[in-house]
Amino acid sequence: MNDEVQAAIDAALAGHTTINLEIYYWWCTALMIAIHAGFLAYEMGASRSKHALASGVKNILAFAFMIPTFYAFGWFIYLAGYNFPFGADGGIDLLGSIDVEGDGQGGIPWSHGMGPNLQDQATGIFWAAFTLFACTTASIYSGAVIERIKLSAFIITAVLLGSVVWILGASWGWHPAGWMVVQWGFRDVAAAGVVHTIAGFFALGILIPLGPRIGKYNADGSANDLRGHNMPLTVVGLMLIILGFFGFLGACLIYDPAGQWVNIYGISSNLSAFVFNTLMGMAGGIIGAYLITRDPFWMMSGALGGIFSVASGIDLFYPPLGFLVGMIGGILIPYAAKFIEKMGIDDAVGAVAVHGVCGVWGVMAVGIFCAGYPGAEGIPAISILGQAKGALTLALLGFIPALVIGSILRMFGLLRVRNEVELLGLDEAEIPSQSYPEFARWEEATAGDHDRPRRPAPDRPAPDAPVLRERADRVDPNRIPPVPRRPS
Amino acid sequence: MNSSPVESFEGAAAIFTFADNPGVVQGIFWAMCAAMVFVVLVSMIHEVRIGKKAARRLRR
Repeated sequence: MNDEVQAAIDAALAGHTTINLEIYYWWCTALMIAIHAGFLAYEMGASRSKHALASGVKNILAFAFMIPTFYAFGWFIYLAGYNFPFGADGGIDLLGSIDVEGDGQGGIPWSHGMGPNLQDQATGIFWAAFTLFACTTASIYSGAVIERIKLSAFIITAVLLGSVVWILGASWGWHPAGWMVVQWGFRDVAAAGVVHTIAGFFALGILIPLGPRIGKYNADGSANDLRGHNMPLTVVGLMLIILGFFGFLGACLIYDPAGQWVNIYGISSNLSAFVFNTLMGMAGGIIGAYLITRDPFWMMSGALGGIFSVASGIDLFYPPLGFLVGMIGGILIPYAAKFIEKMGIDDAVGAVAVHGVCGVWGVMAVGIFCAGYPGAEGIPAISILGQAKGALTLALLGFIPALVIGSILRMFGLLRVRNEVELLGLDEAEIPSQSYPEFARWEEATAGDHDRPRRPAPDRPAPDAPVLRERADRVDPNRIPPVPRRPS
Repeated sequence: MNSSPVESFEGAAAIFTFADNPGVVQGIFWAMCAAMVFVVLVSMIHEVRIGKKAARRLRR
């Protein structure tokens, strides 16, 4: 009788454990969508009104393309690429290092786990969580390139980042068997390096061939501040991103049926540790940025930067240390953004500073403050050298592919919109609706005549064409990358 | 692994609709990929056209 009761209890417990696992990641994934709502608002607000909707369309499409491409090859790369490009003997073996026959089988798009399957209550939810991580990397990058990148170029580069580059980095450094983990003891629990460093440096790699927005730099090289049209929307967007990051960070823990959470490396951890340092890092980041700028844009960016700064050691730091680490991140952001601007690189939202720089700082902070902390069985302890090598590897993994693909797209005239489109406004040229129709000039011209079309006829000159022509003549061609023109 | 009664039905453990027909599954998969490539190509062509159109508007 006792055995029967025990068996029934075990069966009920097993069923609840499985269902809890699904429920937990389901809601983490749902919460992560707030990241994208936030980035959407943030980037639309940071755009000038003539580009606002085009910025939003870019975010929406990034989301849409990331999901099927991550299904197609992203998940496979994570499961199979943890040793790439090193073979069993430690030498380079590009094809042999991909674990196609082992773990990689689970990521092949036509495998039984990659669809409805009553025997598999884990693959779908883990795939979904990782897909939303991938979407996050694309959103991080998308803000940097607003107002001048072609939509098609953005889709191609975002897919490269979200479904190839970052997930390869995750397989190396955010996987219990990843070669960076096994060889260097690399520790990046909440993905400061594999998500933020990679995405930030990927943005940098695209920004170089993309070039600055028209009007960003003067002929003497000094920079202008091209303010977005809606700072309140931007700030609310940043707050939404923070909300979404609670889902992101929650999904960085693995629900263990034995009752003990483990982090991505299989080391015991828990949500309490995560939340201490998430909040303390965020507070530190805000205060650090406030100290330097007193600008709400940078303060909210500092909040994000503070969270990323503590992310690698989120389950290790003493919370006041997390505050100080986050504060340093918040202080670094405005200086890094200024430095990047002085280099002639126009990062419209400070993505390189917030994600790239704070990502590196977050990875290094673990090496500085947690050196010697033991890894899982057979894994080296945390070391400052291992973290430094890891940060450099991830930065290069983001930067080099971006620079290559960006340069190729630019060579064929596929990277940047024509100057005329940029001056006219991407919305006017590309979007069949308007962000603020009540304020459009053509509305004034048609006031009182409700039978006329709500948009100017396609062949009618733009109301402000003379102004735009004059501005186009004043553009310093040395500050704009040459965009191959096709004969019109 | 779970307590679903469906598990006990022969052949019903995997309810992936096309589980026994990998050719169809792969065909659908490649159709999805082709659709994405098609949309990107259409987007590229569209961008070239609107670029020329914007240039014409500014020249007037």
